[in-house]
Amino acid sequence: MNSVVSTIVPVFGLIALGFLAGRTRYVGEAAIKGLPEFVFRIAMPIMLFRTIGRATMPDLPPGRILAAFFGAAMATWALSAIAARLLGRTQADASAWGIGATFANSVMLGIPICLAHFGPAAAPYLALIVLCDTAGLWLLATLHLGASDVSARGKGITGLLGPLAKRLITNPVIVGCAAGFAWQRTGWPMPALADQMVTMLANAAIPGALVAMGLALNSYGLGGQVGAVVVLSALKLLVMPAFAYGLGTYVLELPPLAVAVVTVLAAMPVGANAYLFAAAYGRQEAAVSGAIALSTPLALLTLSALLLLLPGQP
Amino acid sequence: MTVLSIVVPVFALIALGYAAARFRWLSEQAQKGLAEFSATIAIPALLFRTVSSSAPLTVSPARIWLAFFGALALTWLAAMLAGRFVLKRPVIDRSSIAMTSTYGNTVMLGIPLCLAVYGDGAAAPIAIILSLHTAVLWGGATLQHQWLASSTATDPGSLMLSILRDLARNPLIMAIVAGVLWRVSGFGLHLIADRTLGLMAQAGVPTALVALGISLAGFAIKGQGPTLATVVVLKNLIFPAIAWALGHLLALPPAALGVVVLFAAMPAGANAYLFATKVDRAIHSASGAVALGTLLAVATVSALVAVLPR
Repeated sequence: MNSVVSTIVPVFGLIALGFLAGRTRYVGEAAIKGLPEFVFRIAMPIMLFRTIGRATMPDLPPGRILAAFFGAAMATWALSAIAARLLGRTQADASAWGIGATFANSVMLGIPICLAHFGPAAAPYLALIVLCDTAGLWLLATLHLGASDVSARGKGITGLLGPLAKRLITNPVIVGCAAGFAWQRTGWPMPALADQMVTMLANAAIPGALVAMGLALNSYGLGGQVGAVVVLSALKLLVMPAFAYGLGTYVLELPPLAVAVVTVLAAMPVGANAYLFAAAYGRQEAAVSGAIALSTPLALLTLSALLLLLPGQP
Repeated sequence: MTVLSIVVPVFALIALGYAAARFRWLSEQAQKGLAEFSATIAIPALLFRTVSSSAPLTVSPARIWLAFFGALALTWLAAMLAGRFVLKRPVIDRSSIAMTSTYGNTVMLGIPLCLAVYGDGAAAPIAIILSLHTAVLWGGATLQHQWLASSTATDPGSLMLSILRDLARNPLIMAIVAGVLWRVSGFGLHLIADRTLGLMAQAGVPTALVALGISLAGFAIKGQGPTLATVVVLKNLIFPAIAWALGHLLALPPAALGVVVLFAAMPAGANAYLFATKVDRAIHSASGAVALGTLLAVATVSALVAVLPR
């Protein structure tokens, strides 16, 4: 109990602080736009590089971990497509629902919570999923949209996938993860002075990310689309982690820590990338924006409950 | 801890910030935003946390003030005399020159360095000096400049009032005052509150250093050679030397002495430049002093960290 509270409260405390600092205009526009840039272009990649670079890799095929996460995402995706149809959305709109129901806020929230709760042993699992989730889910959404929207299909497959590839190669967080894995493979120790500098910088990553996320929450409104917002939040916070837990435990028979990390990541609230997709293609922006605004504070409850209930914890 | 393991990471983070700005890895907005986050959220959290949990002082604040501000006054006097007899600058330039010779970068560089060297034991002396630092320097320099310029733009009373008003809204000062009050109250910090604050506070040092590096990209080594050399020598060498002598005379314990000397040794900061632009005097020298002083501080600060008692 105590360990759950002492993981969750500081994380959401910093998000709340960021939210209030933005709401009350205690900090200005520059900090709201600029802080996330520092976090994602410098501090977070370096933190991931350091954490992964010195992690002990689990003796587990990466494919099985990814299968648990993406299996859960695809099952949730299918349900979101059915829900979209029932609520009268087109198939093209459903692509934004799919990414809105499955795109977990793995970087800003998943990394801080998992590292605080499970310790550095969680790093390889985290990194594996963070490395692949943007690519995998964005790709899925793009294909879904391309398959259902004639105008989008007109751009051709390269027109749709080109921006995705560019987004990935130039994403410093992904580069940081990949570099960390590469360094870990070499088995070289980090020189002491470099390690000290990297550690200092890495210290800024998690608090910076949480405050940045709180600041950003001010820009997502709980618009009028109540039904869509509630459905997407429920799918993201409840259904996807349930699938992940079931798949990881009963189908793939992963070790407890792997199941726990995959389930907690699957339980993260909707991440900003889902909104970026919706906005990029002009599909269901209000619903996805509302799902971020609703699922993030609700995650305080669902994540606390999940961390309490999950077996196989430290 | 060896000198290198303290000094290298600090200046490496500054260099990284400088490079990030130079090579445009971060946008203008991120450059401003990071400094804002650091100064208004992260550093205040760090100050509140360290001050509210700091060990009781074994030395009276008056002795710390006397050592630091006594050395500051003497360095100021030396700068005025150098401006008159060595540099032969017009009288109106001299307060700006003295300001650049004494206004060090105590917050963005001083706090990280002192905490790295002395740990939490540095918190109390840091808070004691910072609580008066801006008011004394900014207030004193503005009054003197008006007097030198024989201007009566603002009367001293309303000037001090406006400075006090600014201070009351300054997050660093608020954090120090709140930290002192909290410590006196004896409430202590609940474990979880302390963890939350600790998480926020750990961003303070790295963001301050990177933001400082970013800001350096806006300065260049320029200005009149003799003036630039004089202010850098006064700031980086004379001020800390006098501070050490006074601190020694006043028998300050190691952490207090160390903070007084290191704060005195901090290179000229952006605030000195701000003053120079405000009074429109010796601006280039102030900009040059920030750039050159910070560069030379790598050597002067390393030497001090090596020889100061711990």
